[in-house]
Amino acid sequence: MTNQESRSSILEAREVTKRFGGQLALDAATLAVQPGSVHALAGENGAGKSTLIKILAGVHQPDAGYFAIDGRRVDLRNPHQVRGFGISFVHQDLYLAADMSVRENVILGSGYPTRRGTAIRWRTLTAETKRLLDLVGLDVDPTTPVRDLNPAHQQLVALARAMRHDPRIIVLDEPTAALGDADSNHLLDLVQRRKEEGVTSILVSHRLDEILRVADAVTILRDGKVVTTVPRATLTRADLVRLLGGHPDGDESVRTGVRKHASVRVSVDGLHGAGLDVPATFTIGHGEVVALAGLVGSGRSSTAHLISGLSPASAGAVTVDGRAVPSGDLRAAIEHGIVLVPSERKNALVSSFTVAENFSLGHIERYARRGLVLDKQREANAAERFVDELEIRRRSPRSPVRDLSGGNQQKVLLARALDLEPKCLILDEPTSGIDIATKEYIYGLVRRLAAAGTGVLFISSDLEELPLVADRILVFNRGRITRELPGDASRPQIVHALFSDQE
Amino acid sequence: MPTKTPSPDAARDARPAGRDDVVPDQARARENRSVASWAARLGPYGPIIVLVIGVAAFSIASPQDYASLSNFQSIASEQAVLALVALGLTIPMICGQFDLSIGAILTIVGLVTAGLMARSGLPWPAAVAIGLALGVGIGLVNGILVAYVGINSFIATLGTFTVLGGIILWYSRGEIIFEGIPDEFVSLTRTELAGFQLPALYAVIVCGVLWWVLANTPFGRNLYAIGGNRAAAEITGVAVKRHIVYSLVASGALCAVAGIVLTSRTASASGTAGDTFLLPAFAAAFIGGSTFRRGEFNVLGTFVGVYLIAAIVSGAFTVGAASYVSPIISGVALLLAVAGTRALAASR
Repeated sequence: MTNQESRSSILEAREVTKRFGGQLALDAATLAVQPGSVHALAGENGAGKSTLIKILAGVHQPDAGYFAIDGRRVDLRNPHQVRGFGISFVHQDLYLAADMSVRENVILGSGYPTRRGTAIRWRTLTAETKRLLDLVGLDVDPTTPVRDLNPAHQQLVALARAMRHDPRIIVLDEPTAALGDADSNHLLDLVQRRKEEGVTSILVSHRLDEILRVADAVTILRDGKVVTTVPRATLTRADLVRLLGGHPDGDESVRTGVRKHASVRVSVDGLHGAGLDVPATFTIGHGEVVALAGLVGSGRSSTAHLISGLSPASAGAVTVDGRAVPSGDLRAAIEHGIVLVPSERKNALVSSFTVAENFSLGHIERYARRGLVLDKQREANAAERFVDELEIRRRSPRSPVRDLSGGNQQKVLLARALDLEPKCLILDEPTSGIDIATKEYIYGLVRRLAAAGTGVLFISSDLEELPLVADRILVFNRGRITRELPGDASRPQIVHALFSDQE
Repeated sequence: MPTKTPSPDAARDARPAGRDDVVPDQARARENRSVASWAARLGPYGPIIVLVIGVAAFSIASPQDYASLSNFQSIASEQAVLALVALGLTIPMICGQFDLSIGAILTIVGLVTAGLMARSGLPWPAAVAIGLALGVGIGLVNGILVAYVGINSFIATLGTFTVLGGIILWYSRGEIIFEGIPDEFVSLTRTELAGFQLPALYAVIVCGVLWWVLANTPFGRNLYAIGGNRAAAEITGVAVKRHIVYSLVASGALCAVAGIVLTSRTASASGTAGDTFLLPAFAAAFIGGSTFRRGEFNVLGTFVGVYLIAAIVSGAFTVGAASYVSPIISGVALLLAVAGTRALAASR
């Protein structure tokens, strides 16, 4: 294996294999990363990307195979040792201590500067933190609690921490999944700037645009196997979609033109509350898909929470089919037909529960005789119907949902929402961090629901997908609706709307 | 930093190996996998296996004293009060709430029930009803403090525990109440059925009813959902606060039953009666959490936990151990059970 390629590469995976229980998570994965490059890992959820990263991080140990750094075999036993090899990580879960300050988080895990091992040298720490924050272009007070930062800034704090020991290799696991366009661009600029300084980056991403923009090489994984590694120069978007298992020409064929909507299904009138600076007023027609575009924290999710009763409105009214929906009452909103699929999957699923148990969560009373005694058979039958319909893949009906891939977990959330037969379905980032095949399934599902008369509110940070589903796009900026665009608005139009109203 | 601990099996696989021995590496991995999968399959039955092995070992060591029907009958009867307390505790534990006031509720309900009969001359059914209402009332206070005032359950029930301790001192006047307890009340628990005192039967019935309710009602399912992921339960519209109140009311009620049973069995009530139940009840609940349902609290597991500790402690005594081994055994059993659950979770 000591061929030319392995001697020149900075990091190699050689036949790395890992099983969890009976499941083969990684099957003899082999790849080579060139020094000073940006190397992207792409693939569906469950393809093995995270497993590969966690073995590299020393969190998991491989069942077979190994990593090599500079052509030499290394055994990565624990995260501390891995850092000694000059590899830093920004995991998908950022592992930030929310109540602690920025400077404490930056130092976390690598030791405080002290006076002869006793008192912490806070001033040194603050200076060091400022240096690292400069590197990532973040201008915040180092003593701010991380909890008070928005998701984009938290991401940058995690990146700053990863920069602390001047790593040779930085591994970023879906760093832009929770970020809007502007923040994503900033992060990708940082990756490129580090590259100019000779730092190698490994980027796990679901966003094709950003892969095509920054990567020098792309490794595609599928079902735990490395499908191929392709240099960026020879790769087109269509190639990438095809390699990932999507339909390259699907994007063009899906839309059948913007529909016209005669009657109003949902009306939102002067809705005001936490996260909205200016009251929001808009309608959703019968069978209309209204997309909410905007940066994270621009008021899109706040609007969803106010409509769905998750948070109380201070003013304004929501009506569904002419009936007023009480504010701040989740159960009442569900009774009126408003159903929210929240953005954070892990906050909406009970990981130890089965698919069926998660499916009925919140409306389990509907599967009980006289609301008192569970009818598990009926529950299981209803769940199975959705499992078939949504093609939810799981090992057995008794598997806990934590064993499902992200895309399948998202489908469980959708099944739960659909079982409530919503008149107004609110999807908050429904495609974030899931595989391309499931994404396309969700687009199709949204269009089918709309065709059947459901009013859909579709919140997304992924500008690529807005034109695929939306009849109308409302652009949010700093807590207000700033613009309305037709569903077939071009990407440059949307980007223009997102940023022109910012200052 | 990721904090998940790698499994012991995985760590063994990580030893250095030559580049050519990929095949033996895989073979070894497969071997470890089968060991791991056996451990994973048997793990949830670990406490039951320990119980069976323990009983068998002590029976062989002491065939006359230990392996007698009368010994098992007396273990079953003596542990019934603890079983009731531990079953009660399991309910809030399922939805992620501690109840440290269980021992104090047992004590005060026992005292008040005895006092109402002995000091105030109330007929026993009235005293029992008031005692039960008192347990429910304390549970309600706990529930409101935890769910609606928003105090962490550990602290809230530590608070009620402490306050009740003071009330107990005041009400008991440092005395043991034993005169004036009517015989009919005592016979509620002294009666035997096939050699088992009635409390053992009560514990079995309570366990069976709770098991059914938790497995077959929306209430039970929602408790497990809240314990599994409170945020998910809230965002889907489960009435989380109400369920937390119910769970603490249920544990208060069952501890009241335990207090009444204890007062009846001993025909007396003292201000320290409940002190010895708190920690064994938690130990039993945690042992139960590693039994049957992987890492989830459940009443059948709790029941096994109570009798696992009792059978081993009794066995240790019959082979001549001193009284101080009892807490040592309880503590070691608790630690092993929790450590075993963690190892199982890691080997997944």
